[in-house]
Amino acid sequence: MTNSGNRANSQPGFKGWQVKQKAFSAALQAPGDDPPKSLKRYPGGTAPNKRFNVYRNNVALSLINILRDVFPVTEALVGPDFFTTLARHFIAAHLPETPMMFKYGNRFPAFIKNYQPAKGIRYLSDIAALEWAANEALYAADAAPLAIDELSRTPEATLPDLRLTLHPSLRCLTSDWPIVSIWQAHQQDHQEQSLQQLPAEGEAALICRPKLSVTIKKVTPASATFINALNQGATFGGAVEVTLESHPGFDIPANLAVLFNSGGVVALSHQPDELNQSTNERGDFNDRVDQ
Amino acid sequence: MQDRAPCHLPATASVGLKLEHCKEVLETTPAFDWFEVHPENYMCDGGPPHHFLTKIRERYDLSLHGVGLSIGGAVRPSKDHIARLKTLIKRYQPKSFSEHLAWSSHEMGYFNDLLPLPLTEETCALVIDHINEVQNSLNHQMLLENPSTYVAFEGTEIPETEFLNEVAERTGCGLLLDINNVYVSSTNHGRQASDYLSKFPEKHIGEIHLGGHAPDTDDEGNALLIDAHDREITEAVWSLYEQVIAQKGPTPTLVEWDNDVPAWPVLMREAQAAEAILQKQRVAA
Repeated sequence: MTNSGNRANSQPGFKGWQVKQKAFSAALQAPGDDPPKSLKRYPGGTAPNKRFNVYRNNVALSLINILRDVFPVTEALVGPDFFTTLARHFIAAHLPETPMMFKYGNRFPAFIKNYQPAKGIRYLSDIAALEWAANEALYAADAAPLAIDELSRTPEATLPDLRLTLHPSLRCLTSDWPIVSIWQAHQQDHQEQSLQQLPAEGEAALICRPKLSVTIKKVTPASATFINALNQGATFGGAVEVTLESHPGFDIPANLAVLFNSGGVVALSHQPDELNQSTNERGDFNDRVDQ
Repeated sequence: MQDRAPCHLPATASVGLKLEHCKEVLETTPAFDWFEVHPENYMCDGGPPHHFLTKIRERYDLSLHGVGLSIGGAVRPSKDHIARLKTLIKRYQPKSFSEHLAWSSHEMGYFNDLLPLPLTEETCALVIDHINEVQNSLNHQMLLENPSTYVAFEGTEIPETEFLNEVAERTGCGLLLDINNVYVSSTNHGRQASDYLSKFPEKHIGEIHLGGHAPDTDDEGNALLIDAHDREITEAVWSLYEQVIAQKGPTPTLVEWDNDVPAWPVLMREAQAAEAILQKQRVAA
């Protein structure tokens, strides 16, 4: 195969395309501007506005639709028109970083937090964070959950040193707002939860995808402390200790049942392993709503 | 006829497979030989995409049709993206990998659209360079698809068919002839689709795409067709397809329907219509 890179370098107009491509990109992100000067005009000299706008629309509408799919409850809370404007502002500030569209939207919750027109809905950013966590869970690595019976094989004396490897899809978020109740009020299979009768206090959410579907469950603040301690690499004993400090009535068997029944535990060991290192990285997600 | 295109798909018709149709496909096992997917949707660690594609692959051949390499950009395709493609090719052993004569990434980010480039000596050399790099890295030959375009660039451009032929000759890549794109671009630039097809380097064709487009008008009220992939294939495109198949013989053919995705039977019928044209040609030959 011929290496023609040198040929390109020796062209007198080298980097001509690079310059034009930059101007094309800038014009795509600036809806009010004229189309790039490099484009052919109509015979009468008119700029090809409508033609260039096809590309602007393709970019904007495809990305708005991606955000709509990932953040349906966020959209329901503000309405489709407000959401479209919000999404347009977000896209203007944050184009996707890669062609992997399942990764697009990670900055949306933080963007909403600082988005002045949405300040009135103070829980909006936390709802978006919950929906983003569910999206991450959907595409996270697969792993087979362990049944709680597996715990009974661990000699009691060694329990404090036990390490629970949590499911790669597991996330646990805490919020000052009743995020799970708000989310449930927008799900077809949770019609019992009404937006008119929301709890006054904040809630914690446990997000996990043991098989193909993501589940979102409300857990107690104590449970969230316990799960996040495990997720950050603490031993079973260490996580219990941390949790008891802030929640003296912490019910260990009941909370273990919550975690296992969610499909949240995939391995038990007495050694720090590679999986535990990767769970440490996930600490970022767990803390996001608190910050 | 000598077929030099590096494509090992069966010369039958199929569809671009959507995740929402996978369950029904696995339950009803329609009589297709292969399916095509966008690799970018399968670059995740796990979840439903891999679950379904693994099961699909157990039964059908696969074609990976990329949208994210930005082959027509001024900078080299991302090494990370090539590495991800390599991982998928190893995992799913596709019979074909194809991409577009277009660009989608810039230092500003990824635009999620197939954007146009001026067809010049400079960009021809760049595209050749980028395809060489992709094929060498993947150790896999690829097909390059003709684009649908809405704008042209100032200055003299190389005719697209000459440009594609030069790229194919110099890199050994094959070509993916998208007949809907031919019709859309020809209409948008006031040219004859049949003229374009008569000049298309037939020997390099490894696969054909068909799809639906949406009618619009430009600033001066002229027809402007949008490559929307959101509806049935038009009569005009079917007619061009029949002419291409009559000339070239049965060729792997794919129906694309990416927006307002219909129920599975509707999409399947479009592919069956293409298969009927292929079958007519098999009988005639």
